Parts: sequence; C-alpha cells; structure tokens
Amino acid sequence: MDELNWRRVSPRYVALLRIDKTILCGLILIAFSFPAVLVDAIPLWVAIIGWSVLGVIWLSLLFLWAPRRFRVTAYASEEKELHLRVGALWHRHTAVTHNRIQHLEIEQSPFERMLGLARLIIFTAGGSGADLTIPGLAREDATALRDGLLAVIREEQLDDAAITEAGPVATEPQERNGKDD
Amino acid sequence: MARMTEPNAWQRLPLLALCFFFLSTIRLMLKHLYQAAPALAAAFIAVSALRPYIPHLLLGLLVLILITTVLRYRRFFYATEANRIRVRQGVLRKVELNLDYDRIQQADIARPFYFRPFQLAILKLQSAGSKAQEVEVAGLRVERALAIQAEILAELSTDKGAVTTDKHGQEVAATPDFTFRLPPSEVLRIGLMHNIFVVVGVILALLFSNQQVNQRVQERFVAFVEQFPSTSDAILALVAIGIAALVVLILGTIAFHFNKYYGYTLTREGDRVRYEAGLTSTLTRSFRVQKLQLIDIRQGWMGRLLHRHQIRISQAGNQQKQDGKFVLPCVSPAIHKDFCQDLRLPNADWQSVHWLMFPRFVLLFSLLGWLVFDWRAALGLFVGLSLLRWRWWNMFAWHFDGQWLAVRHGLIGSRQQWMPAAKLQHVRMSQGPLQRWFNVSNLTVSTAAGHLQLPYLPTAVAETLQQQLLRVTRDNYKRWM
Repeated sequence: MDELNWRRVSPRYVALLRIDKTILCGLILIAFSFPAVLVDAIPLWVAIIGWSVLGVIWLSLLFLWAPRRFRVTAYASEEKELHLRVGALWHRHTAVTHNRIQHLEIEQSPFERMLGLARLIIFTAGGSGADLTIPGLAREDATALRDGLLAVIREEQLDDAAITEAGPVATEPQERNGKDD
Repeated sequence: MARMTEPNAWQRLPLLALCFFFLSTIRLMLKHLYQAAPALAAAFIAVSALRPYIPHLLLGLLVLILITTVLRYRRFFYATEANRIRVRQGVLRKVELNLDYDRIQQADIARPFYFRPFQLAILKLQSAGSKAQEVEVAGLRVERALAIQAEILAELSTDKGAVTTDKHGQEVAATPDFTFRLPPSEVLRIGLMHNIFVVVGVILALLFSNQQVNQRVQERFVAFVEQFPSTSDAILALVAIGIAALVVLILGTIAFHFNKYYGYTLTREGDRVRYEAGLTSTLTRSFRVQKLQLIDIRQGWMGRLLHRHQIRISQAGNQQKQDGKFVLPCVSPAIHKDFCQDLRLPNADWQSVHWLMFPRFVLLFSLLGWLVFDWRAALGLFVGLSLLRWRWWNMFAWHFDGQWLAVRHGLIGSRQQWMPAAKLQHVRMSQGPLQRWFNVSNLTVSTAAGHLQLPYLPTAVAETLQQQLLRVTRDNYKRWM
C-alpha cells in the first residue's frame, strides 16, 4: 500500500492540551492541598513533597508530553479510508473505510471555541461511543473534512449482493487471497 | 402525522397478554428490589417497628404490580405496515418505536407455557439501533406471529432481490438446504457442558454479598458442626452434603437446559436460518445469513471431555445479551464440520503471535507477591503464572485468508471467533513503549457485534494485516447488515 499522506492537526492543539492538563493538575492540587493544610497530622514536608511531585508532573505534561502528543497526532484522508494516529507514549493508529461510516459529528468545548479548534467524531457500527475522534482540528478544517466525507458517503451505491452467504459455492470462485507476501 | 391518528391502525393485544405483563412486571420489580436488597435488609433490621407491617407492605406491592400490569397492558398498541412494525407503549413515559423490517437483525417467536394452550405467542424483534432495541409483542396468535416473522425474513428478497433466496417465494414450503435435529441424548449433554462452578460461584456470591445473610450462614454453620462428636465426622457430613448439593445442581442445570432445548431443530432455507426448541415453552429464532457479523465457537473443559462445541452467532447490535443470541447449544464434531462448511468457513491456517505475549504480567505479579508476602510466594507465582501464560500463548492463534479473520484462545477449553473480513467497522493498531522496543503491535478489529483482539503481532505483520483488512472492506459495497 502507498505511504499514507499524514496531516498534522493545528499547532494550537498544544495550547489546548496544556490548558486541559493545567486544569487537571489544578484540581488535583486543590484536592491534595485541603487535607495537607487543614489536617495537623500531615507534616509540612509531606505536603511539600506532594506539591513538588505535582509541579514536576505538571511541567513535564506541559513541555514534554503535550508537544510529543501533538507531533504524533495526525490524520490521513485517503480516497476510500480515513486514518488517525494519536498518543505520546502509547501510539494508536485507527483506520475506517468510508463505506462503514454511520454518521459524523463536530464538537467544541469552550476552550476549543476560544482557540478556534474543533473535534471531528466519526461513528461506525462497531462498538459503543465514538470510534474515531480527530482532535485539535482548525474549525474550518473540521468542517471541510466533514463535508468531504458526507459528499463521499452520499455518493455511495449499495450493491444488492450480500457479503456472507451459506450453502455450497456453485463454481468455487476463489477470491484473490489476501495473504500475498 | 396523519397516519398516527388512523383509528384502525393501532391494535390492542388480546386480554391474555395480561399474563405476560404480570410476569414481566414481577421480573422488573425483582430486578429493582434485588438492587435495593441491602438497603431493604438494613431497614428491616434497623426499624423494628416496621416488622408487623410486612404483610401490609407485601399486599401493597401486589396491588402496585396489578395496577402496573393493567396500565401497561392498556397502554400497549402495535401496528404492522408494509415494511415495518410500530409499537406504542409506556405508562408514565410514552414511547413510540418504529422498526423497519430491513433493520431487524433477529426475529424470535416465543411460546411460553401459559400461552401454548391458547395458541398464542410472543414476537421478539431485535434491531441494530445504537441502543440495540428489542420489541416484544405478546399474545399474538401463532399464525399471525409466524406470518409477521416470514414477512420480516422475506423483506429483503421481495423488495431488493438478495441473491441467495429461493426464487419460488416464501409461500412455497421449500425443502431445507441444511438441517439437523438434536436427539434427547444430545440435549441432555447441554446442561452438563455448562460450567457448574459458575452457578456455585453465583450462589456463594449471593450468600456472602450481604452482611446479615453472611452472619446468619456462619452461625448456622457453626451450630451444625457442633452437633457432631468429632471434627472428622463433621467434615465427612459436610463433604457428603457438598457432593449432594453439587449433584442436585448438576441435575437441575441438565433439567433446565433439557426443557429449554428439547427437540432443537435447525434449518436453513436459502439464507434464512432458524431453530426451534423447547419442551414446556418453545422458541423459534431466526436470522438471515447476510446479517451475520461474528461466529463464536466455544468449548469448555466439560465440552472437551464430551467432544462437543457450542456455536453462537451474533448480528449487529446484540453484543450484550448472551441469552438473545442465535445458538447451537451442543455440536458434535460431525455437525460442527457440516455447519462450518455450510457457512463457508475455511479450514483455519493458524498463526501464532510474538513470544513477548507469554511473559506478560508474570514478572509484575511475582514482584507484587514478593512485596506483599515473601520470596517463596513470588517463586510460586512465577512458576504458576509462567505455566498459565505459556499455555495461553501457545493456544493463542489467528487466521486470515482474505475472506475470514479468526482468533483462537483458551486455557483448558478453547474459543474461536470468526468474522467476515469485509464486515470490518474499524481497525486499530496500538503499541506501548515496551512493544515499540520489541517492534510488536496489537491489532483490535471491530465488527458490528464485538471486537477481535490480536495482541503481540510483529509490527510489520500487524501493518500488513491492517492494510489487507482495509483493502477487502473499502471496495466492498455489498450488504453487510
């Protein structure tokens, strides 16, 4: 198969990741600080270690994890398939063919709206919830990608034959074997 | 809509359907009460003033059940149209469901014992909606239910001409293309094949899940043991009781499944597959081969001893409910071969996965054993887990021939999952940091009825397989559901 034409998402995605993780760390900080300050049994040094560890995690999320996640996150819109690659340490590469797409959604959180970003969510009949979420797309890219996919799906012509059939095969029309290497 | 208000379109169920709603309300109520059991038990213990009113409460509950039953019956309407069935139901929250025959994945006709003398049946339809809706129309006359079922199954052939159906139309009673019937001796094996320890586990969990019951059981147990003159007598008695209980359970399971699957007959006519089974209550379940998404062939340890498999066939959307699946409950090697051949399953050419799958979890859990207990526990865990993982890795295999993708795994028994490759919904390749080091990847292949996991494939193999799966799917515009 030809090399996939990977396209990166918007560079503003890094900012979005940083905002998200800062909020998460902030919430953890609040949850941890309350008992650390109010409960006398917890000595100050424990609190300081806790805060330092959280600080280190926060900084590494912001300056190591977020840029790396952005570098990995990419999508490839091919003629008949859509590919998505995400992850920082654990990489995931998901692919869906156009003829299995059920419906599409565009979602925007308040921060995404602020940064002019959107998520394109692609649903198939396999499994619960979203099957493919392309994060960090510029709003206009998300709309263009969705419209393109919708146009392709609209053009689709279903064949009347079924994929699975039972009973003896009449003339054994052995299809080309998929394992050709 | 104008059609909605048509006076004759909506039909009510016959009065006898009240039985169905009564039983179904009790079932629903038991489900809710079971969830509230700890709270009820606590209330029972804590508020002693409540105790004298228990008969009143039970009476109140019965009245509530009766009112609900009548209301549910009164508010239930159905209407059949050319290509769809519509159902309007609900007491407080009214729901109207429109189900196109085209979307129906499986059509069941259940004839419970209380309907059989009156020639009535329940029609159960499963659709492939995102919530996998199920419609139950109870108390239809058997002929009417069969007519609707036949209409649903014929829907695609009459209207769009699917290739595999017979040309004579559904009125002609064609001779089946494939059929087999389980004799009573085979039906008796079904209960045996079920893992009895699952039932034992459930009963034990029920006994020990609730603190009050748990305490009561312990007290009884101590009192029982103290009756005996010596400990060995008590142990002997307990073992005897245990064995007797197991025998009763096994006999009960056999009887339950004998009743459920008595006279099991499977037939395929064209691409319509159906089975009929049951002694006191019967069930006819049918689906079309073109809707098939996943075939699950299982063999537990007991099945292995008896040389029998169980086959379950899933269509889109019904991955959650095991009870709703199309099942071949007891399959001898000969029938297994014939049925797989009839469904055009090839002979598998099993491929194994990377050895890295074998030591997974072994080191981690051994280390945990060391930290929590000592080095002997760690060593024991290491040896035990290594053996288990080795067996798991050894059994794990996959097959792909361009048309079918299959995965096999198991420890004592085995399980095979087969999917038509072109019915792929999406495919995901994932890789952790350690896997990147060893250049292996996991592949998750999703169908409309569940996922197939292929872990620890060499990355090059995973990439090729992903591309091959996409290639067979992307140009395939044939009907997949």
